[in-house]
Amino acid sequence: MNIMKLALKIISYSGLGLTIIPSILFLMDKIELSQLKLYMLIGVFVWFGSAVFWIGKGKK
Amino acid sequence: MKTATITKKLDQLYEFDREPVKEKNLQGIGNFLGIFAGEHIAGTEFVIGMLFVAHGVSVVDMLVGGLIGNILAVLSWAFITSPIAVKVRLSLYWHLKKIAGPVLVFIYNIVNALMFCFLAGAMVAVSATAVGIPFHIQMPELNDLYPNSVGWVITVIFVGAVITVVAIMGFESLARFARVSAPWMFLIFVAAAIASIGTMDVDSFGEFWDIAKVKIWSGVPLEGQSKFTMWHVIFFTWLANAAMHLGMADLSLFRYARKWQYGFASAIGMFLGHYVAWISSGIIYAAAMYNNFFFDAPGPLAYNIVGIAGAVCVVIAGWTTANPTLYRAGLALQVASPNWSRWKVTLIAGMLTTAAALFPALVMKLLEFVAIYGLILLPMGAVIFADYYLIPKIGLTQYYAEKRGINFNWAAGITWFGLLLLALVMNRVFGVEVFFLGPPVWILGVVTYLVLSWIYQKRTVTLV
Repeated sequence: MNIMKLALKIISYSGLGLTIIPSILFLMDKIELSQLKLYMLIGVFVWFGSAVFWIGKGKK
Repeated sequence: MKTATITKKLDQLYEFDREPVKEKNLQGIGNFLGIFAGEHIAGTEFVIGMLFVAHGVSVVDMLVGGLIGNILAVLSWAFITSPIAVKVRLSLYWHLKKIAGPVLVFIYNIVNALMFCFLAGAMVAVSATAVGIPFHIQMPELNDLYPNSVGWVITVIFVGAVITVVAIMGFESLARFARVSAPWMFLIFVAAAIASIGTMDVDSFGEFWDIAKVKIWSGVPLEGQSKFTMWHVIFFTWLANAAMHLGMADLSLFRYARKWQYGFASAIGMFLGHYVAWISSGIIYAAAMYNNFFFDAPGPLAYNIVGIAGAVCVVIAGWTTANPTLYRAGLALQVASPNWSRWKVTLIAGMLTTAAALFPALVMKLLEFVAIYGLILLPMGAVIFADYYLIPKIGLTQYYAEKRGINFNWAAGITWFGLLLLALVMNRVFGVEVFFLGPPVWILGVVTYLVLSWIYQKRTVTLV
């Protein structure tokens, strides 16, 4: 695996982290609902902005 | 002449998979896990979990019934569909044609195409509930069967048109986008459910269980909804993809499997999509009601709890799953107009899909539609099962239509139509709910095909 792909994967997984972790923090009363929505929206951009470059790439 | 023409055109259409799959084309388990994970986290999952809550399913019914139903579905794929698929290695079309003959397969394809259009329609409607949010359109409610506002009609037509145009331009790029979306969509379901629990004043698991029993799966149906028991959950969950396993549509998929055990790969789709996602959407819906947010449409529900990410997820979940369904509908419809180019057929399928999506009944009565969809195609799965395992054992001829050059195998035809008629009578006259008709219809399908084949094969041999 080259460095570029590894970096992309790390970015993608952090996007997934931004999708799931805020909900847990909200459940634990650590963040507000508005913050949860913002973090999850950032997660959308991070995930799709990086995952499209490696998932299914080069496969039929 | 007409039959010959149709047969020729049909064969051309499916030419690429006329032969059994070769050893070099077999696929590893990873592909099957990916396919099942991707296809069963669909836009419709947002609706199904919600409808279980609306139908007054209790918490034990949901958790235990869902578990049993999903196990039965996995076992159906693993022990009924995939063993035949890896031995014969033909697509459903060619396998069924050998048994039933080209005319009956033609009819089957048309029926299948219409079912696919309705299913894609439900997914378009799900997407539309999210697309309509910024325009404040009036969303359909639980008991709505017909379009309830001009805004809804315009939104559905817009979404249907965009999905159709993108499908015409290229299924493959969107199929890849669906693969990219799948892990994220699943986490959105889970995150929205966790956040929903956070809005319900829950501080411990014990409190969650109490809230789950009373406020989520209370056991009391909402106004205008019938009461569902654990049996409903088990049978619905088992048969949600009946067309694919007991109905044998996934012969086309598992013919690429190295081993029959790959049928167990369906577990990932069942337990992520048809268990965790259904439970999650039930929690999202109930939590919204708990917080006095009374919406029955997935778009506003997801937007309410996780904001734009939720709305985007509903759009993508509906869109990416409508795309392959529209593709399959187009492929199946092409048998009716073999000379038409693919884009024209896709356009027709897209128009049918969009017209169907206009009716909220397709979403609000999704459980019934899914059950009917499976039921309609089940008897032909029973015919395939009986033909493969039992017909040779009682001294009859396997793949009778192919071996005798018959266009329409009456034993298969009467089995199919007769059992659908019987199911209709059982439902309308004796009040048996559509959710419970699948297993008896399948078993009767096996028996009926054997008896009718015995009569039919003896008779045609005598006549010849």
